[in-house]
Amino acid sequence: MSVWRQIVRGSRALTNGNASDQDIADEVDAYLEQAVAELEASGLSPAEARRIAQLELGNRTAIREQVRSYGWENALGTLFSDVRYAARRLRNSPGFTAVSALTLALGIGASAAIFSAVNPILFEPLPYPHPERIVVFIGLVGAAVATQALVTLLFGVSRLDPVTFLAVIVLMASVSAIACGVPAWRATRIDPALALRAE
Amino acid sequence: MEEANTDVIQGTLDMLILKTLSLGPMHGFGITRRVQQISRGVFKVNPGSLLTALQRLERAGWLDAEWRQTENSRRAKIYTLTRAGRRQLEAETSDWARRASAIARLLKAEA
Repeated sequence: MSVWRQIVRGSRALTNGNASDQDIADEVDAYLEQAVAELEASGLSPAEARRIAQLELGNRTAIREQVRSYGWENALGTLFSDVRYAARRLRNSPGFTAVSALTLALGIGASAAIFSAVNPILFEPLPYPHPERIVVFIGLVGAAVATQALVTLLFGVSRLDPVTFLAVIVLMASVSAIACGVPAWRATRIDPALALRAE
Repeated sequence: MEEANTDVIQGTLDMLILKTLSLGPMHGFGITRRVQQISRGVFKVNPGSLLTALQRLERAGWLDAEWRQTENSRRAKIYTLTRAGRRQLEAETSDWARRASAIARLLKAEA
């Protein structure tokens, strides 16, 4: 693939569309003229030759469009005209534009606000001793609230059954202990010299 | 009588163009005529597809294009095969041979 040619031809078509359109139109016309010349050479009258050549070639505008539609610059051209169209439509209906802009602004603002509130809880250690207890507390309260939604699906167990809650806590704790502990244990068994060589 | 299909087999147009231009520099209509003559009328190149393909092959660097005077003193865009085009033609030819012989084997297969 000649990337250079792709870039040069494509940007020329974008910046100087008329010249490259003219080049295509010239080529289609030249194609027709050659066909006419060949038919004339075979003994047909000029008018007859032109008629047959035109029939054989088909619609010249359609061919020009077909050739023109090749190239990456067309996708870009479509994008530009879409953007222009959107801008025009927005200018014509200021009320709609204001409402959409406001909706987007509120949405972005709300997301930013929620994130700034959640960020210290989820991703940064809390400025209290034993932050994990706070997390466990939030989790327990959250679970107690969430079970409210499942209460109709429960059978033979109460919504806040202490055994179930305890079992879940023990299960989760052991899963995370294994997930953290096993890799750590394996890491301690690697010869430090080997680890350094692999660096 | 139903007219015989003269469409170029899909995916082979590039190869046919490259091969035709390996015989010498030519303009678009010249390629159409050559393909028609050499294939004895079995294939007729569609002008729109041909000119589009020429555009594509030129951009790929396989052809060079230049407006020049033809022997009947008309202006035409003359296409010349480049070195990269020659390599591409070799690659496409061997790929075609491989696939065509596979098709032939399949069609000859007996139970």
